[in-house]
Amino acid sequence: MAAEEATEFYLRYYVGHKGKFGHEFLEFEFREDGKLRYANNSNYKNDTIIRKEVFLTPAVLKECKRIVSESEILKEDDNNWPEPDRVGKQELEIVLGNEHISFATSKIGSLVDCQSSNDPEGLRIFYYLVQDLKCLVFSLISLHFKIKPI
Amino acid sequence: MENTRPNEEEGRISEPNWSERVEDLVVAGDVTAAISFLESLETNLQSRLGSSSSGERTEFGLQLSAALTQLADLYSSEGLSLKSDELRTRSSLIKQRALDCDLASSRSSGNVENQSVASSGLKSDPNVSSFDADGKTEDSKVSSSNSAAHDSSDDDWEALADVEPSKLLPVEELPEISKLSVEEPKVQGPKRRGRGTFTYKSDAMYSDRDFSESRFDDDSEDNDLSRESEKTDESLKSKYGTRHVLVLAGFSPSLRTTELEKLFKDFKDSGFIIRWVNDTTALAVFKTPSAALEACKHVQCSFTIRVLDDNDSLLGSISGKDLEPPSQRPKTSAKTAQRLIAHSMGLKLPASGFGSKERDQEAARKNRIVSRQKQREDAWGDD
Repeated sequence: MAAEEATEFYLRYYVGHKGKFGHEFLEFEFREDGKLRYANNSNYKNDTIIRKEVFLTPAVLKECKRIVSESEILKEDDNNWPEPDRVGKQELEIVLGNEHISFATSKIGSLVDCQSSNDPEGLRIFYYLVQDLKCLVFSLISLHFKIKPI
Repeated sequence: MENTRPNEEEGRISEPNWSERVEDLVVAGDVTAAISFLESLETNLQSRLGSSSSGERTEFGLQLSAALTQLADLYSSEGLSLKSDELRTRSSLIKQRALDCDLASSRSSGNVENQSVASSGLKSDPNVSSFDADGKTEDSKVSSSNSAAHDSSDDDWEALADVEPSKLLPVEELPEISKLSVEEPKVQGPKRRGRGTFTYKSDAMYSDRDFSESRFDDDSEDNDLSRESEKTDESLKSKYGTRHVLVLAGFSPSLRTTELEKLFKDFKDSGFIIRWVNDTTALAVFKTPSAALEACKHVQCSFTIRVLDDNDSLLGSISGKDLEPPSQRPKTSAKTAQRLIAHSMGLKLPASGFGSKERDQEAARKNRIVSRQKQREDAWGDD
C-alpha cells in the first residue's frame, strides 16, 4: 500500500487540429499536486479560449489512477497506430510509477476506425480510456464551475 | 456397589436422549436448567470414560466433546464468554484424543489398553469428580502400573510442540520474498515509450506551445479568409451597391464615434451606423441611397464628406460586411430573463403572466371563429 501511494502520477490528453478557425483543441492534464487544468479553444462563431484550473481531492486522483491502471494502456504501443494527420491529432501522456508513455495518433471517429487499423485491440483500449477520462473531466469541470451543475 | 449399578442404568437411559432434552429445556426458556443438566451429564460421561473399553471409550469421548460444545454455546448465550472458550478448548482436545485412540486401537490391542488407561488418567486429573473415592482409586491404578505409558504421552506432546514452529517458518518467509519482488522495479529508471510529446514536469501545456506555430498557420488561413471576404464583397456590391454609404475622411485621429454620430443627429430616425476604416477615415452607412445623398447635402463640417463610388480606391480596405445597411435590432423581451432569475432565486412568478398570454390566445381564436361564422351568415343569410 505504501508503495502504491508513493507512485508518481501525471496524465495529459490533447486532441486538436489547425483548420479554418485556427488552432482548435481540447486539452486537460492531471498533475501530481492534484491540480486539474483544462483548456478548450475554438474560434467558431468568434468563440474565445476557455481555460480552467481546479484542485482535486486525493480520492478523485486515486480514482483516476484506477481508471488508468485497469485499462492496461501502459502495456500498449502506438507504433502501429495511425499517424496524426491533417484531420487532427490526439496525444495521451501518462506517468504511472516507473512508466512514462506518450502516445500520438490521429482522431478516431468511431470503433470502425479502430477495427480498420493495424492494432485494433490496442487502439480500442485507447478509445475507451479516452472516453472514460473525458467523462470524468467534464463532470469535474461542470460540478465545480457551473452555477447549476446538475 | 449397589449405588454404582443404578447410576450406570440411569446413564444408559439418558445417553441417547440428552441432546433432545437440552433442546426442550432451551425452547422452554430454562437455560439454567439446561446448563446444570449438561454439567451433570459431563460428570457422568467423564466417570464412564475412565472405566470403559476402547470402542465405548471413543464413543464416550465424542459424546463428551459434543456435550461440552453444547454447554459452551449455552454459556456464550448467557454472556459467560470465558467459560465458553474454556469449554470449547476442552471439547476440541477430547475429540482429538478420541480420534487418536481410534487410530491407536486399529494398530494393536495391547498398546491400546495402556494408552487408554493413561489418557483417561490425564483427563480425570483436572476435573473434580463428585465421587472422591472413585477418583482416588483410578489415580492409584495409573501411578502404580503404567508409568512408562505416561512418559510416552509426554513425548507425543513434545513432538507436537516441535512440529508447529517449523510449519510456520515457510509462511513467514513468503511475504519477505514478495517484498523483495516489489522492491526490484523501483531500481529501474523511468522508460519513455510512444511518439507523442513529453511535457511531464513542465508548466506549459502542449496547446500553449502550439500557439506560436498556430500563428504562422493563421497567416495562411488569413489569406483564405481574405479570398472569401473578396467574394462576399462582390456579392454585397451587387446586392446593395455603394451609393448608400458616405465616406468621412480627413478628420483628426482623436475624433470619436459619438462625435460623428452627433453630426448626423437629424437622420437618426432614418437609421444609420458609423463603421471605421482607420483612425482618420470612417463610413456612415445608411439604409437607402436617398437618405445618404440628403445627409451629404445637409451636413456641414470641417472634413470632407462624399458618397462612396463603385470605383473608389477605398473599397480595397473595406470589408464586405461593412457595406451592409444597418438592420433594426429585433424587439427584445425580458420574460425569459425574469423566468430564469425567478427560478434560480426560488421565487414564483405571478400566474397572471402566463394566464394572460393563454387567455389572449384563446380569445383571439374565438374571435376568429366568430368572425368566420358571421362572414358565412352574411354571404348565405339572404338565401
